[in-house]
Amino acid sequence: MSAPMGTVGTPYEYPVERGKIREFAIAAQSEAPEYFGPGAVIPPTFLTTASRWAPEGARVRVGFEQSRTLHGDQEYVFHGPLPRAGAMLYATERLAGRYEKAGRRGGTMRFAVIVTDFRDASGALVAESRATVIETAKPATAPTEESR
Amino acid sequence: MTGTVPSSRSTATDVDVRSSLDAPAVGFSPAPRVFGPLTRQMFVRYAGASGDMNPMHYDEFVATAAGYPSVFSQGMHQAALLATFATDWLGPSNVRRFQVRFHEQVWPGDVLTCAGVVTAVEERPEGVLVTVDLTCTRQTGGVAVSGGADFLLPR
Repeated sequence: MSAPMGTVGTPYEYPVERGKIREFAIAAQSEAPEYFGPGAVIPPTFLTTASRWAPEGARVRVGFEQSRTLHGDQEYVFHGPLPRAGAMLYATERLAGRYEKAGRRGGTMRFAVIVTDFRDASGALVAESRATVIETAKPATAPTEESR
Repeated sequence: MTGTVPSSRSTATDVDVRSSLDAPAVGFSPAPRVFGPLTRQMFVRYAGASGDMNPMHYDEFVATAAGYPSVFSQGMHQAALLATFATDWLGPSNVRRFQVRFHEQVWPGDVLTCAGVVTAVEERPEGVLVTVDLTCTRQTGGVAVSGGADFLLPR
């Protein structure tokens, strides 16, 4: 099923956990003390862990064929001080854009931009994740981890 | 932030190390950081940490059955390493934007070099906004990930 523009997923709770930050920082080969204390801040790409908290219906399905889908670009924007261990965020995924380009060897490449808004309990926008996924014109030679 | 800014690979000719730490100048480039050789264990550790359990990154049978020579690293794994380089440089608490674009695949045994350069420095009421370009390059010279980031340095 292909979601129309403006589709919004079910909001979900995303607890920011100290142990998860520590585990993520170690996987990122960081030794920065900012990631290892009780008030640890999140690493720049840490919000990728949010989707593991997403219940059924929270993810926006763009309708691309999985074997031809690549994760092309990823951006995180923080609107103030970084979330810290112990914070509770509220995540909502939405389809923010769709466009097409001609493939290098013919056919059409399709793009979708999926934005996840992260808000605090007061509703203030804390951070955004902006993922661009690509459906290649031909079977992909290099699928990535975020096939969707 | 604390720590030192290595000056050996600075692209600026007259950068004072101390002032570049306090308010980096456009064109300043710190010493790159090398990660690797990468191991399958690193891919597994990132899979667990991120929750991305795509077996293509740790199950040799699945990867070779799909036509790949072996498992390969998650794109977001390289992004996380590039982020480590950037936050070691400009401070984990200061990041306000981090963006990556994925290019070449990365394989077990690859050695990645993460580098960056200051492209803009802007005075803001709340601090100094430093914008950098970032690249993560394989030992072949091929770019695995490129991107950029904004850091807000407190005065």
